[in-house]
Parts: sequence; structure tokens; C-alpha cells
Amino acid sequence: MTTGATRTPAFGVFIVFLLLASGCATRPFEARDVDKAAFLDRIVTQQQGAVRISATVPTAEEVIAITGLDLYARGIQPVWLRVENNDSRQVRVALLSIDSEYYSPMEVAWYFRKGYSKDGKKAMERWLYEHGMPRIVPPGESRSGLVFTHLAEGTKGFNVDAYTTRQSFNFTFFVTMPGFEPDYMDVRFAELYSDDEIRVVDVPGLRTLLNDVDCCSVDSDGQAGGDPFNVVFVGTPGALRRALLRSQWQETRSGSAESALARRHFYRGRIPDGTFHKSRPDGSEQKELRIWLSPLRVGETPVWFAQASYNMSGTSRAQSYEEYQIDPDVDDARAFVLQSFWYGQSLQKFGMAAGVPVAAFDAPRQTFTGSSWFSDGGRAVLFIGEQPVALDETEILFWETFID
Amino acid sequence: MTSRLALLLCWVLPIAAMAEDYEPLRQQSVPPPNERVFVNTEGGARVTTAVPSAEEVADIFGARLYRRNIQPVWVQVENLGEQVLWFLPAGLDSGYFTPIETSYRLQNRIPLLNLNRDINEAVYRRSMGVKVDPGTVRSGYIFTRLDQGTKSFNVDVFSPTESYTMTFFVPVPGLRVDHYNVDWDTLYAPGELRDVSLDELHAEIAAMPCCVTDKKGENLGDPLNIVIVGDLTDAYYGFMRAGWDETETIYGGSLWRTLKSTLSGSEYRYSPVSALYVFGRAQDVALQKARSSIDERNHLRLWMTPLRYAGKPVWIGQISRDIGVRFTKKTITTHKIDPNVDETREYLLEDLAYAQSLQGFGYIPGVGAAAFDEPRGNLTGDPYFTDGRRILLLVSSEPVDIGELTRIRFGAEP
Repeated sequence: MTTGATRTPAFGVFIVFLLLASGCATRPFEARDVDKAAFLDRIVTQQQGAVRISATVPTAEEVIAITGLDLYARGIQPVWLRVENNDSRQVRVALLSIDSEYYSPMEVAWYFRKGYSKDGKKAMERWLYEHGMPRIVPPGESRSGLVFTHLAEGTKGFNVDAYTTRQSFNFTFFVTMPGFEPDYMDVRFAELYSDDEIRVVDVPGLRTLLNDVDCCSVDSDGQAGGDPFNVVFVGTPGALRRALLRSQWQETRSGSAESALARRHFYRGRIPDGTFHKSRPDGSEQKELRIWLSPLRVGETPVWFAQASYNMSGTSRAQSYEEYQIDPDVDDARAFVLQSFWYGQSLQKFGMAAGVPVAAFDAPRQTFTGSSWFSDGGRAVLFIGEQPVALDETEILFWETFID
Repeated sequence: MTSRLALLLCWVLPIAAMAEDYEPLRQQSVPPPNERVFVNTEGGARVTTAVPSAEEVADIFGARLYRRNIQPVWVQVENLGEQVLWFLPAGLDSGYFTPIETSYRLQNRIPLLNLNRDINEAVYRRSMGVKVDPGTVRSGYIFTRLDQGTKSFNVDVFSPTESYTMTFFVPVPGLRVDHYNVDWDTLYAPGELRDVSLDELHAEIAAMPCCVTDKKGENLGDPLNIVIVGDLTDAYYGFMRAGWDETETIYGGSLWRTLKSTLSGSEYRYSPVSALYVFGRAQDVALQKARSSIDERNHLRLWMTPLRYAGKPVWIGQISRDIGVRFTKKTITTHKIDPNVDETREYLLEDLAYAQSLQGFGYIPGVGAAAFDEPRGNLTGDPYFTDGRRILLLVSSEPVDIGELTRIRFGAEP
């Protein structure tokens, strides 16, 4: 009796501890009905021939509300699809076309396996399995489900390819995400220039003009020189945005830390109208594209000045020594932008104009941010197509011959 | 004095900036790193490539670039036509390193000690430009992400009217690849090899074992859910183009690298795989494809069957998608596989089709169905479920447009 009495409190604590510890592992899995989810109000639908595809992307909170799983925290962003097949043949949806490294439903289940009771884990696995997007849609039927993609900040751009034995259907979707306001949404583009300031030129006129106008950005005082405007876009705002997203350039929020360096560069008294980033899959470096609307127009199409810059600091083990480490070879960053639009099938034509000061490898230019750059002096002028342009249909304009 | 200097600078700087004669630092011609050059000619472009080994890179650049995951590829473009050619390095590797970044990765990064100019210049001078004038030859290095075993890449060249894409497969010394050890000629006696029709192929494949076994042939493991038709080079080039890597044999060096990658969390894309058995022998070829995280990769193993279809060998194999690592009694740790093996099978179809490595595909039974609620187990106790079908994949070493892919139907298949 006495031993029992002395043991009881400690034993009780132990039992409570066990209960607490195992309490985490007894959670059931409860999912809400996807068909009634709020994100279905934001469906975007496209049709090609007999195939109709609807798509939407739930936010981090919406995913949690439905599944209790914080998929975004693990870098997973589900895309919801519905494919309606009005063809007489079966349609196959190529999940790989949406994200070549998509997560399989059971892989997602494995990541989130901890903390559930035995039945809870089973229910979670079954739910994910049953809600994965099926690949096959029989004739006259429709199927819907989730594809687990890699998380991208901002507007979600993705392709969906579908095939019958006779035909292929290639869709591109851009789904805006609630709660994410890209920096360019803050700019009132229509009010940037008065009618007197707008200068309309033809293509040869643009080429001539580019040799003289605005070589570089300046600091906030408008005094010291910054990076060169070595990329020029000619395109409607919609076409430019689609081209950027199609080539996986990511939007940035206004005032974000990511674009802090970009915001030190001014053109006509303004920070960039839009800043975009693109990284290598391992995240080891970052290309930055800063874009300003210029007062120039080719016919009615706006001309945009841009800076391509290549931040190498992600590659450095001694990152704390330096705030930014910009590759001084701005021509290479320019070539990268050209290629990303070319391979992104957005390039109707391009040419090389002059207008950037020539700076030799041995005598680079210093900028007000403390970085330096050298250049052959060329500007890439990219004409952006309203529709995708096949790789071998891009027209090459021969303007300047000095480009290396 | 100061004002006079300022005045002088004001006067000199604009002149300097106006200098029209840009003198490229980049060399027009850089010698190849070795004699293992590969040549391809299409229309007005002749392209020659070579990939230096780790040691050759160290000799050329004075730095161990392979250790930084950087592999220089030597490219020479001869413009045989009358129009300017554009060579796009992103076609070779969409995540290529710029020359300066390459040298930056090697450097002492305390900015005050500017010791790095020479390295920068040495790398930059040897880098490849993008424009090749008519009648000229241009060569230099593109700095790509490291591949060992066999380096496969495209060289894309554009002129105003033409475009050329050439695919190269260049062996890189330094890796002990498993299938180099297989003696293909003695695998089957001449009398054992059989040419089969499509219907016979279906019947033979459907009758083959459902699954791999352990060495003794006593216990059943992963389902044999893929069938490949193609000779070794077809299969090899097809898979390489889709980003699959070879696998090293198990020896001291590969075990050490596996241990190192496990401890450091770094990636060892060529790590050896355990032996599984079909026809009484371990796999003839093992390939793997890494994804973003080290635990996540796809594995496949192939065994050559005695069958020949349309003059090409027929292989049977298994594919699994590793989704994590778990502990087991038998092997201490093992990869947890996606139990939905059909999903992995369909992934492979799409993967090869998008890499333009596939001519045709179809389905053949033989695995036996296992339901979601009644899964079967593999040799390490991982459950799997399946509709019971094998996928038949006719691979091609030459690129095939995805629109030209044929669905092969057997008998009364819908």
C-alpha cells in the first residue's frame, strides 16, 4: 500500500505525459468537400476543340481549411483541374506538362504521415489518392482533381497538355492568387506620361533613337549612374506579362526585401514599375529583371526599358561579407533574358541596338551601389508576340554587328 | 589641382565612353580539351563538342571546377553558310553558369583582397560567344551543371532562316558504370534468342514473372511493370535525353561517396543500387533520376529478355519512385517507395515522351492487380497497389515528336 501510495503521483505524471505525447499521434483526418470550396469561385476556363479545361489554385489557407495539411509550408502548391472531354476518343492529361517534378499524391501523404492515428493516416492517404487528378478522361465525361506542384510566389502560370490518339491540346493558364499583389499593380501606367511626352516611332526610328536615349538608371538624387538599360521590350502590357510568366520569371510584391536593390535604381524619378526574378532550380543564383515603361511607342505598342542583372551571392559561402555580388558581365545577363524569351516562345523578333556605353573588361564602370559592369555596348530589343512563337519562327533583325 | 583633375576627368570620360572599337576579350578560338571530340553537321552548321574530365579541367583552368558542380563543355561552331548563326547556350543547359560566376565560385570572397582578376579573366577569355559570322569558326567553353558517366546535351543553332538542334552523348571518364561490366554476347546462347511478332510479344511478356525476387528466388519483390523495346544505345540515349543518370557499381569509391552524401545531405546522383533478381541474375542496367531532394529520386532496373521484336532486344524491368527514407530490419535503411506504382509507370511514359525518346507505347498484363486496400509487399516490406498492367515502351535514339507517338493496341483493347 505504502509503495503504491508513493508511486501514484509519479506514475500519474508518467501516464499524463504518455497521453500528451501520444495525443499528437491520435489525430483523426478530417477533410471538407472540395466541390463546395471557396476557391472554385475563381475558376479560369479555356476551351480548345472538344476539350475544355477549368483550373484554379487554392491559397495556403484554403488548403488548410479543406485538408488540415499545410502543403504550402512544404513548398507544395496544389492546382485544381477539371477536364471535360466532348471528343469521341479518350483524352489523356499529361501531368508532367503542368510541373515536370510534380509530387505524387502518395508522396504528399508520406510527407504528412506523422501525428495521425492509424485510421487518420489511412483516411489521409485515401483522400489524397482519391483527389489526385486522373490522367484518363473517357469520351463524353469529365474528371477533376488536384495536381501537386512546386510552390511559386505570385501569379501561378502553368501549361496543361492533353492528348487524344489524333490530336494534341496545349493550354497555358495564369491564375492570380488572392493576397498577392505584384509590385506593378501599384503603378498607374495610364498616368505616367502626358500626351505631349509620348513619342511615337517606327521600328527603324526606334533603332536610331535607342543609340541616344537613356543609357542607365540613376540613384534617387538623379546624379550617380547605375546599371545600363541593356534590354528593351516592345509589347503590350498583357503580352509582356504573359511572356514573363511563361518563361518562369516570378513577380515580386511591392516593397519586398527581394527587390530592395532594384528599388535603388531610378528612371525618370521612378523606381522600377515591375521587378521579376528567376532562379536556377537549386536556388544558387538569381537573375533580376527591372522594367520601366518608357514614353516611346512603336505605333501603338509601348516600349519598355529594362535592366538584366545577375546576383551571384547565393553561391557564396561567405555571404556575410557582402550585401550583393552582381556579375559585372551584364552582357551575359542580357543573353540570358534573350534566351529565356526565345525558349519561352514569346519572341516575335529581336535585334541588337547600341546605346549602352562600351566598358572593357579591364575598365569596368562603377555604379552608385558599389558594383561594376563591363559591356560590348549592345542592347537587346525584344518584340514580344501576342501569341506563342515557335523557336524557329523568331525573326532575327540585323542591326548592329559588334555584338560578341 | 583637384578642380583641374576633375575637369580633366570630365573631359576624358565621355570620350572613353564613346569609343566605338569594342575589343572583345573573348577568344574566337579555344583549343579542344582532349581528343574525344564529337562532330555533327546539319545544313550550314558543323558543331564539334568535347567534355574535359575532372583532371583535364583542373589543368586547363587551374581550378577544380567539378568540385563546385561545374562542368565546362567545349563547343565549336563552324558557320558553313552565308548567314550569321546564333548559338544559344541555354539549349545546352538551361541553368548554365556565366563565366564570371564560374570563377566567383572558386574565389577568395573577401572583396578588399582583390586577388581574383586573373581567374576571372582566364575563365572569361575561354568562354563561348553567341554569334558566329558566315565562313568563320568559333569555339569556347559553356559552363554547365555537372554530369558524370555520359554527358548528354543539345546544341541549338539558329540562323535567320534555319534552326538546327543536335544531340550529343559524350562519355566522361571517372565513373565505374554498372552496365559496362555486363558481357552482352554471353548473356544468351545464340539458340536462345527469338524473334517475335507483336502478338507473340504480348503473349510472352504476359507470361513472364510478375515480380523481381531475392537472390535465392524465394521471395517476390517489386512488380515488373515496364517493358522496353530498343537496343542498348536507343534505350540509353532515350533515357539520357530525359535526364536519367547511370549508376555506379558497388566498390570502395562508390560506397564512400554514398556514405558521404548521406552524412552531408549532398547529392550523389550515381549511387549504386541494391541487386534484385530476374532470370536468376541481378539487373543488367540500373538508372536513376534525381529530383530536388536527395531522398527523392526514381529508380529503374532492366533485364534483357531473350526476345527480339522488329530486330531490337526486349527488356523487362521495374520502376519505383522513392519518396523518403525509412528504417527496416533487413537493410537498416531503405527508400520508401510510392505505393501507387502505376502512377510511377505513367510518369515514365510522359517523361520519355516529352524527351522525344518514344515511338510507341501500349499495355500488357502480367503483374496481377492489387487493390488500394489489399496491397502487396516488396522485399523490404513496402506496400504497393496496381491495376496489374505493364507498360510497353518502344524507345528511340532519334528524337520523335510527341504528336507522332503511336498507341499500340492488342486484340480487343479499347
